[in-house]
Amino acid sequence: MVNGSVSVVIPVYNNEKYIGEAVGSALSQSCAPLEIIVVDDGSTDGSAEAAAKAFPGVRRVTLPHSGVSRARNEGARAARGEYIAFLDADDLWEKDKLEKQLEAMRNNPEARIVLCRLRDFVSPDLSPEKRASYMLKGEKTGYHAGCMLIRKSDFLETGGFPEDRAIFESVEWFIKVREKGFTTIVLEELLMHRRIHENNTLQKDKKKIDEAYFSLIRDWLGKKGGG
Amino acid sequence: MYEVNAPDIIFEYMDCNLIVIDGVEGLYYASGGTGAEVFRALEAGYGEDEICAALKNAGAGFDADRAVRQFIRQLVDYRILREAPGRKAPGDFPPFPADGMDQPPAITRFDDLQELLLIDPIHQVDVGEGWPFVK
Repeated sequence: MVNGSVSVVIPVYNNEKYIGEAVGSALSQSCAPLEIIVVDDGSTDGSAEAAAKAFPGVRRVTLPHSGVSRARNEGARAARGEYIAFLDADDLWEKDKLEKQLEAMRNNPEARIVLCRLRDFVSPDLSPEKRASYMLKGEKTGYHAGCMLIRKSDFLETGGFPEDRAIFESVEWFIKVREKGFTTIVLEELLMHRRIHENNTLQKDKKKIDEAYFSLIRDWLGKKGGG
Repeated sequence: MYEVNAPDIIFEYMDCNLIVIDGVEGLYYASGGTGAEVFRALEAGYGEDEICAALKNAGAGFDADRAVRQFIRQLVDYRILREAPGRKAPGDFPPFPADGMDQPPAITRFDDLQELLLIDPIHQVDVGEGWPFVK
């Protein structure tokens, strides 16, 4: 196994509680990454400092708070590896996530992106009552940044995640990838775990969610209609 | 009578066209012409008989009774509308535009973004409780 070709980009915004586990998950990969880049998106809780202190080898990029898309994009631009894998600061990978995805890349020269499946889990630090109150769905095909392995050059060719869209930024990015005709391989293995906790950065404003839905669908219908 | 199956279903009109989104299933729908006009009447609370009569008055070039019945059945099957017994429309039925009365109402269902839309946790957000649904 050839190590050292993947840059792991971890955007973080006020996630001191979980970022150590995320970094640990990246560091314990069976195929060690070339580097781990923590992109501090203007945290005020010392998230990035905590990660840097606990893991001195981690690279740190600091930004004023500007959203997860810009944080991912800046991390990708700073990456030195041939490949990029994104991991959110509260999520976890299986130990062989990168190894299996790199193997898929090597076995499928036409592949531009390799995805895996993901499953949501309730953070174990929550109280039993709180944990029992959540209803989770099963495994999903991972059209999610944390499930992806992509060449840096290909990621930059897409223009990165849309920084002007606060909701559905990943959906829009995957649409762009589809339009570009990037061959995407989906591994049928569960390699990513998305943590559910009390501070997930999720939009709760119904009006904003609805507007985001319509904006996305209007744009997509316009593209389809316009050829 | 019928009503929109909110909050799972959201819709908007764009000029003379209609977009419907099912955020739970990751599906979306598009309609135009008589489809958008009939949907507008249904979601306002008008009944099948009133809508059929209005279509005939506007010179519909199709079997209005059959077409509206089929259209409503499709909207209910798609979970876009649900029955709402006793619902009353706000007033007299506004006339349909005279143009575009040659095609029966129809709506097109799209699932080409389903996997992408369903992966985003936004569809699991409960407006009151956050995400995920709290039982």
